[in-house]
Parts: sequence; structure tokens; C-alpha cells
Amino acid sequence: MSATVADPSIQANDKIPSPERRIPGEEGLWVFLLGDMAIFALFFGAIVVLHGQHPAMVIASQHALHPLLGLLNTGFLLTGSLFVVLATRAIRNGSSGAAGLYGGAIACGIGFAAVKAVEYASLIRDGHTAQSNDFFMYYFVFTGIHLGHLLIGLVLLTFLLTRARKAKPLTPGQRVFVDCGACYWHMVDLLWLALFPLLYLVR
Amino acid sequence: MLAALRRTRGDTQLIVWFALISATFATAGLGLEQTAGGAATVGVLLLAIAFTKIRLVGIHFMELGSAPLPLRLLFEGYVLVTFTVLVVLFLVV
Repeated sequence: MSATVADPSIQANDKIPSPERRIPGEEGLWVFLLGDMAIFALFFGAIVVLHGQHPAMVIASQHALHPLLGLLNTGFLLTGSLFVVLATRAIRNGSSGAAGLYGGAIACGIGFAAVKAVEYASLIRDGHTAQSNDFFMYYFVFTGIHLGHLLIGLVLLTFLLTRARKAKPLTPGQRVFVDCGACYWHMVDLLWLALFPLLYLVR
Repeated sequence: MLAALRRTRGDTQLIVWFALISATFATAGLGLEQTAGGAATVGVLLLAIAFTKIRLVGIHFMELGSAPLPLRLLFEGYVLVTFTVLVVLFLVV
């Protein structure tokens, strides 16, 4: 019995850790991301309450939107997220192609911003602005804040693309930055997944 | 880049992306074809699909599936609480 206590290998085996669980990025990032997501949850709630209080105004306003452009933008963000997943894996493994994959994600982000600009221009041309009614105020403010997040994400992805072009392996700090950039980009995607149906489709 | 894309065949993340894109088309079809009578049911369904997609992005793309349990629970809690509150607001207000 004392042998089992004395044998260090057996003691070590007693403490075999479960499969590695690690925080994607770092703790501080998640405080920010979850805080941001909580603020957007309030935006989602405000839209739903508006639906309940002024259904006729909301439905009439929704008819002025362009759901196919919203659908296209969802495709851009989901595909951009896939590119970021693949780029993150490639840059971690030091395999080729990470820069191109980040480039693909940036192209998707630019596509989203371009479509949004076209939609904003079309709405404003038709006389729908943030002052038109509460629905359009929510629409322009919430999608505008989301677009701001996307532009910050594009800056982060550009940094990551620049880093991916270097042949050197990632330092631990750079690895954390790669994870943080990826998680931020996915959050931009995630927020749009709720905004799209709430603004364009839910009647 | 093409080599990296070729390596994704049968990849979980690629399957998740297909599921997300398919769900997006289903959402659009459901939302655009809805009639006034079924708006409440369709609305709840649209929210359910949206938050299922959000969960998939978090678990698979943000790698929260392999994150420490407290962080994963915070995310799962966010999805569940936000979805529930929105459905209640949608049906009650």
C-alpha cells in the first residue's frame, strides 16, 4: 500500500487531466464579447417590443427593406466565418494558405459592407431615413452599430493577413491575437444572425 | 489557399457551414412566404432557427465546445435566456 503512495508515476496517473479545455483567445476578450452580445440582446428585445406595439408600422416598413440583400449579406458573413476558421487552423499549423483564406474573409466582409451601402442608399433615395419612424430608427442605428463592428473586424483581419504572410511560427502572444481576431469576427457574424430575421422577416 | 480548402473535405466546420447556409435559406423561405394568420408561429420558428444558428457558430466556429465549462455555460446561458426572453416578448407584448 505504501508503494503506491511512494511511486510518483502512480500519483501522476491519479491526476490525468481531462481532454484539454482552453479559452479561445483570452479571458478579457470574453468579458468584452459577452458584454457586447448582452447589449445587442437589448437591441433585439427593443425590436421585438416594437413589433408588438406597432405591428402595422413595422410590417409596412419591412416591405421597404430588401430581404434578398439581407440574405446575401448573411451568406457573406457565414462564408467569411468559414474562411476565418480555416485560416486560423492554417496559421496555427504553419501550413500554407492562411493569408489567402484571410483574404477571402476580408473580401466577404467588404462584400457585406458594399451591400449594406447599396441598401442604405436605396432606402434613403426612397425617403426612408432614421427620422421616418421608430422602425427605421432602430434599423439604421442597430445595423449601423453592427457595420461599425464589422469594419473593426476588417482591420483585425488585415493585421492577421499581414502576419500570415510571414513564414515565422507564431509566438504565444501572436497565437492569442489570432484567436481573439477570429472570435471577434465570429461575434460579428453571430449578431447578424439575429438581426437579419428580426428586422427583415419576423412579422 | 486551394490546398487548405481541399483539406476541409468531410470537415466538421464545413458541415456546420452547410447547415448554417441551409438554415438561412429555410429562414428566408419561411419568412417571405408567411401569411398573416400564421405570423406568431412563424415568428417563433424564425427565432428558434436564428438562435440554433448562433449556438452552432459559438460552439463550432468560436471553439466554445472545447472551452472551459464556465465559459461554455455562459454562452449557452446567453443563447437560452435571450431566445426565451425574445419569444416571451414576441408572444406577450
